[in-house]
Amino acid sequence: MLDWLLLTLQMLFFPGLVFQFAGAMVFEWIYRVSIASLEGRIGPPWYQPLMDFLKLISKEDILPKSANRWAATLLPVFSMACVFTAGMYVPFAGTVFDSFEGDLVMVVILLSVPSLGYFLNGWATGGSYSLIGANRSLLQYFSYEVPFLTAVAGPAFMAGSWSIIVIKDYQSQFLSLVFLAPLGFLVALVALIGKLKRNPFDIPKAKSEIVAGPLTETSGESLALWHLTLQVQALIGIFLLVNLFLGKVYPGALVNFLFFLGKAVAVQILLGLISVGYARTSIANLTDIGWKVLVPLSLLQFLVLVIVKGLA
Amino acid sequence: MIQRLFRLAHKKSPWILTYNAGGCNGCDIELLGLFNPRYDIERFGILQQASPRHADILICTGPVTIKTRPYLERIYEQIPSPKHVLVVGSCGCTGGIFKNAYNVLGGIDQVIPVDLYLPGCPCRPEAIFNAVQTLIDRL
Amino acid sequence: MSRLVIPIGPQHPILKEPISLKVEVEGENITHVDLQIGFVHRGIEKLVESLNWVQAVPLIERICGICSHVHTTTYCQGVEQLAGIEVPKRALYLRTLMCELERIHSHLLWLGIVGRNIGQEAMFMYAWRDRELVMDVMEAFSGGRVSHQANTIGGVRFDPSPAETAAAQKLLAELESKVVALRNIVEHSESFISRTAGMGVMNRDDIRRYGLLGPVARASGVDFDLRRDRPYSVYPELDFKVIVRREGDVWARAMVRVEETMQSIAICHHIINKLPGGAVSVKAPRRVPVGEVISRTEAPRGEVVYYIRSEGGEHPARVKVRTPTLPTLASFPELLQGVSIADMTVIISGADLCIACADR
Repeated sequence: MLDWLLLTLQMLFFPGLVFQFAGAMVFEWIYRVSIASLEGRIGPPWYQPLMDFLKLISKEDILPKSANRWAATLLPVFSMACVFTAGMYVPFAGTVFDSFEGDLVMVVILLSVPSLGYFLNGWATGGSYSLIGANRSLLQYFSYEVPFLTAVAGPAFMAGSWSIIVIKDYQSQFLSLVFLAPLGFLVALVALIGKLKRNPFDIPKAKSEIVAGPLTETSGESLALWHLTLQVQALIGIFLLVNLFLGKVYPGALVNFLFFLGKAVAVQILLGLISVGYARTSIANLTDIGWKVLVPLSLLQFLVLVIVKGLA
Repeated sequence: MIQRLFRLAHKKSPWILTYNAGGCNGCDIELLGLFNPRYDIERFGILQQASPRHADILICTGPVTIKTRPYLERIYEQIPSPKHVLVVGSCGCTGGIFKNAYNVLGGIDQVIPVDLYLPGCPCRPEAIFNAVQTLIDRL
Repeated sequence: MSRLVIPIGPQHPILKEPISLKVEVEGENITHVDLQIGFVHRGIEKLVESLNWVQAVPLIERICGICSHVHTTTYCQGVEQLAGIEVPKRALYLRTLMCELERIHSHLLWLGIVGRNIGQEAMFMYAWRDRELVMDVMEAFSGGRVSHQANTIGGVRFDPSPAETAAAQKLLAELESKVVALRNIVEHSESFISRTAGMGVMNRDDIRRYGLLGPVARASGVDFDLRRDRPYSVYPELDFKVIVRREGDVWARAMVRVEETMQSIAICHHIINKLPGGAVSVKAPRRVPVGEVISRTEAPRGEVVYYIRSEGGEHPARVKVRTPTLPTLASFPELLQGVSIADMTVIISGADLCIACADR
């Protein structure tokens, strides 16, 4: 009985819904403020993402006549459920809901579900901008997913396990893996930007080209859920990277907690920096970057790791 | 309680959509100027949206010409409620200097309901921001 | 892949003003462009005929918000020529000063818009932040940021004191250092170059065929600038360089505009240093003798031509405006053929459209 209660509480609060929701809001704010300060602005107040979310869910939800109402309503819910589930299995400062051998694979797959939902949303809502955005998001999905998997496989190979917590503990014996696998970290970071559809890879929702891509016709609650999905996806993606590549554990719970948070925030600010520094790439460029740069780099990194492990 | 929270959220996160219904562009560049670092209107949660479906406040500039009228109506219908319309510029309020031109219907209120008028030719960014804030405070 | 028609405009984020481009795409590539203009047509040319000569000035200022001063300059210049008014030297200098300030403002505005449209929000922020300086200068002089009401027939309506011009020079010097930084971004930023180089290339023949003007033409190797080749006002007394590049793509247009901004800042300094004393306006007669005149000036976007006809009354009989944006629009259907949607936005914004000018 007590077990069930504990489980429910964990799912609801930590590391479940409330924690991830709050974390996503805070991290979104950090992202927006880091961009704003790099552009010489002040940026939004800390409660801004929450206010945006609340406002959107209280707005009218209208869809074009041609849209598939069922799909358009269920897709964001389904995508959101997937990222929240993924979040349960990614350790936060060493604490995790549950872990098993192979949870890394599950998390990666769950994190890629929203991309497909995003694509389907474009088709379900109709409208020419949405259709083009949907096509683009699928193309983008194929360009970043393979490098992301190959990059993530490196740490798993080193630790000899597909469990995130084992990989993290493996790093606490030596250095963080980013020193051994800087290329892998870089590839994973770039692929993560593609996953999150952030500048410079915000091609599926390029504002000046196709308005808002697959979300053009989405409004109200669905839009709020989509934004939340992408924000939680960012949070979990960053936590995943920190665990896999910057996973060194420090003695003392509080110190470890602060270090973990610091690393995650640093990665988020790094994403903001990249977003300010580069113009949007075109979709042809992105497939080039994905297959001609990221994939070879991640394979090279994997090779290096194999050699290192063979020598050790 | 929830209602009050939602109302607060509406005040703190007004997303705007701009539409030039036939003006001289002067107000539009001042509007866009609001987003630059000197005014940085994102401080107040105001973002410019591209799709009418994401917007809360429609900011219209310019008098309505015969050709833009159907588009203005359609954009207004596409915005999910609660929605508000702010008219920026004298010519959007009444037709202004273009009132007697043959292709001009008059102010924005000839076509869609308007919540707040901001005269000025062109309006300064501070004035536009003040108008948005006034509109928000009325919610 | 099936064909899809995407409507660009009249409300679309890349356009500040309504035009409509119905773009037919196959996958990402454009196969056909259907251009519609006239959304901002208000009938100003007709409305001018119902006003008297001086009343027409504020209306003509509102043809376009970005290059408002150039329009009134061209109009006043034409009417003064028609009426045989001798404009004081100081007025001409101040008028030209305002024109050059407006060119700076227009080019920086354009740079920001291009930055925004290629997805580099930071560029928009920097360019527009720096643009505020020149807006301050214009506001200090004339009282208006965008519409200045600076011109009147027979002179200008503002008379800056030496303290004001000194303050303006200080701001302009500050602006100059910032524009140098912007030029470095445009010239060297890999990200910017990769998005703009090789886009919308037009050679000299294309320029001739469509009759393109201004920075677009100068970026394609057409060495023509009205300020130097058909000098008007006080331009013969000023020295400046006409920037010409041969690449003909959007990047070259950006370079031409940034370099022109630098030149304009130099011209402004030059004017302020040489500014003669005296009156800033003379009284204009109510009636203008019968006749017709063509007045030409170099606007930020190219040559503006006014044809003004008087029948001896208090009202203009005809004012015909020709602005440089219309031929640019005409070149789009061919220019956009076969390019991808992503490049389309770069090409459209690279042309620096001013629809309010084109439609009137």
